Amino acid sequence: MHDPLSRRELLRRGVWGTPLLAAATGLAACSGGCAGYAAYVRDEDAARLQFFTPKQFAIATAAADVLLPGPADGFPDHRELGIVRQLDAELSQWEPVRSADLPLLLSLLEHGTLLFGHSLSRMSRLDLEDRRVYLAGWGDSGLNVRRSGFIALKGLLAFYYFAHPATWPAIGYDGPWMDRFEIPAVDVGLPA
Amino acid sequence: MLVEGRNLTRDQNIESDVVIVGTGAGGATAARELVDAGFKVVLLEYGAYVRAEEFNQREETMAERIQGVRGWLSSEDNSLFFTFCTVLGGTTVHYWADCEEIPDHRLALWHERHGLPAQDFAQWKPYYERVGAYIHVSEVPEHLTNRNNRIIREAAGRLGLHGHQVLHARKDCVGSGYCMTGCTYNRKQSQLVTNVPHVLKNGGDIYTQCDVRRILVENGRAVGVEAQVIDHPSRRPLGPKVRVRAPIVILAAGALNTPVVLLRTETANSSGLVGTNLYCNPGVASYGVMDDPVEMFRGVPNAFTVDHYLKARYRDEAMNRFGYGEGENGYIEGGYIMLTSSTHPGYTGALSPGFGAELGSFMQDYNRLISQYSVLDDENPGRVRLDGDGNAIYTYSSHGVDLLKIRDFLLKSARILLEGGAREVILPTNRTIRIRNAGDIERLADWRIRPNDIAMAGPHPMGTARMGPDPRTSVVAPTGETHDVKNLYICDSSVFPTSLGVDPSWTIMARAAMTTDHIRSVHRPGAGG
Repeated sequence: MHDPLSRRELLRRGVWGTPLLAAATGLAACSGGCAGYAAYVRDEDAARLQFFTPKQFAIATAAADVLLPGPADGFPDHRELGIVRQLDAELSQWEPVRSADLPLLLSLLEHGTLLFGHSLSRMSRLDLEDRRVYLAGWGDSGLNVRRSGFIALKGLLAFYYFAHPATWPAIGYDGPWMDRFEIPAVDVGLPA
Repeated sequence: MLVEGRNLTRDQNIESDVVIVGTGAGGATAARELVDAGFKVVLLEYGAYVRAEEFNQREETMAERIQGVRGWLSSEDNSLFFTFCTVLGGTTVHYWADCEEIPDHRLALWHERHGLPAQDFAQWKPYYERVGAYIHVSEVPEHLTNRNNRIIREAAGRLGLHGHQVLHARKDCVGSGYCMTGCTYNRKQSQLVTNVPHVLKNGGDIYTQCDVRRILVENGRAVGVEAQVIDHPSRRPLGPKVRVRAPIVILAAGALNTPVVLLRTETANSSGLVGTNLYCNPGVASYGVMDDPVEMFRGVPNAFTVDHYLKARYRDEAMNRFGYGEGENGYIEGGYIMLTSSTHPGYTGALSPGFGAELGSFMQDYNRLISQYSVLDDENPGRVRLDGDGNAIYTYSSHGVDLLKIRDFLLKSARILLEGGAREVILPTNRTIRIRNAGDIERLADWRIRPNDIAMAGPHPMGTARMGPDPRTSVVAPTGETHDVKNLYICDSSVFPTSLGVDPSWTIMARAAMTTDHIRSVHRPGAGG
């Protein structure tokens, strides 16, 4: 039989371990005032959040720092483009049944370092190289649910990042035609 | 008359000969056939009417405005995301407009293993021709065949692989490449620019932003539907409801949504099969990096398809007749077609290999990429079900022979892309796999792919209300009418007994025309049930 552990089954069965889950949930309940997150959340971002708590925003930002390319790679800084803010706005429009796992995923990314990363530091406090190794472990994991979390978060962030026009010069994409060429739409008789 | 849900301020109670749920390939085709026969037809569409000038060629905007669940509906284990549209014109608004016919061996399988009446392609051909005329099917011309397609066509030819120049539904295409964000120029012959205007011009009525919650059934007969008007693009309920009473009800909401309507209504499901058998032709991408610019994102995305491996091949010759449904045992190769592929930067990034600097390095080669994409003839289906709160949950996770097919596709594709001159082939796994020569391919012969090792899409949902003669083993009779509820018809890919293994849109239209032929043979306009 194929990998039988869906996300919801996993949570129900507590495969991650009740203590970890309790710790993750408890820590997740901290507000944006939790020590160490201020570097990731500007006041103006915190004030405009529609889905994430400030702490969740900080964790997503810390992950994006590693998952997305940046100035050192010849690309814009995702923070300047507001990619996590864009993700926050998008998630606020999702039905709760579709978005409910995201906060939990972020908590587990942040506090799974002890179990999965063999580190006492939470993910956002790891230096960039350690964070990179830790997140690569999620992508390679033997647990489908960790690979699932990795691919979901990376896919969402990468979509909004590369859909942003500021990244296009770096990849040789010259952008939409409709801003540059006057090509009429064929009149098919639909109402205006 | 086209009524946009956003303009409704009070409940609507409508009477009609026919009510059709959904305006995609199945629904709009059925509507055209029936208005032409004199039936009064009302169509209800979940999505909004999005005008050509609103197709702004930006992925993030159009995901929100035209795609189902804003472009982010994934299977329960997140190993695959479904690509479909909820918009006037349905999924044809973002499709690549490939027009593929049903393979003969699939018709034989459906007859011998699923009990459908014996048919050969000659019986389907007149239907393909009839509905093909609505969408102007023709072969992709050379001037729209971009460098990506030409490189792959020539490489496949040198390797002795069979392929074909694709039939497509476009007219006076300008080659912008913005097919998936909705054609700004009304050149792609989606239902939005073909059958929808035809229906409106010939007396049909369409109501958009209508979430059909319930089929009305009285004395074992369908007599109408009830819908909640919803906001666009938030999909939140607005005040008014739309009720349509009609003696003929056609569900054409697609294989992800048709079963949801049936399950919520708790009808037509004596077999217990509604929502089961969810196939979706999983797609994974492969990329080759060329030295010179390719610009895969311009021109027709898929002008040339390698169909050499359409049928899976097994060691036991007896299993090669259908090339499907035999499991892992004795599997050698194949069971997919290979589209030439193109995606814009957002989706390329989301489906890309690696992360961080490695992802950046890959994307810096974006305009030098050549690419193929699988249409996998999947054998292990998923399921659509409702949770305790009535939310639709989609379970799908590739396993067994389907994972072997994915590996086979990726390695065969690597061979083609290298032959085309790629300096390296990149497989979009979480940890990037790079292939530079035949030895690298050899080393991956026993590679074991797991769900969520690689980003996958499910572009062709089908099978969730399968057709067959036996009410115990199917939902819909060969006429297109449900076994359990009289005058309730299904005109979408839900009725296919298995995966199709090729783009289904033209076949959905042809099958809808078959069903409407039956409807016209047993119902008269204005005559009631």
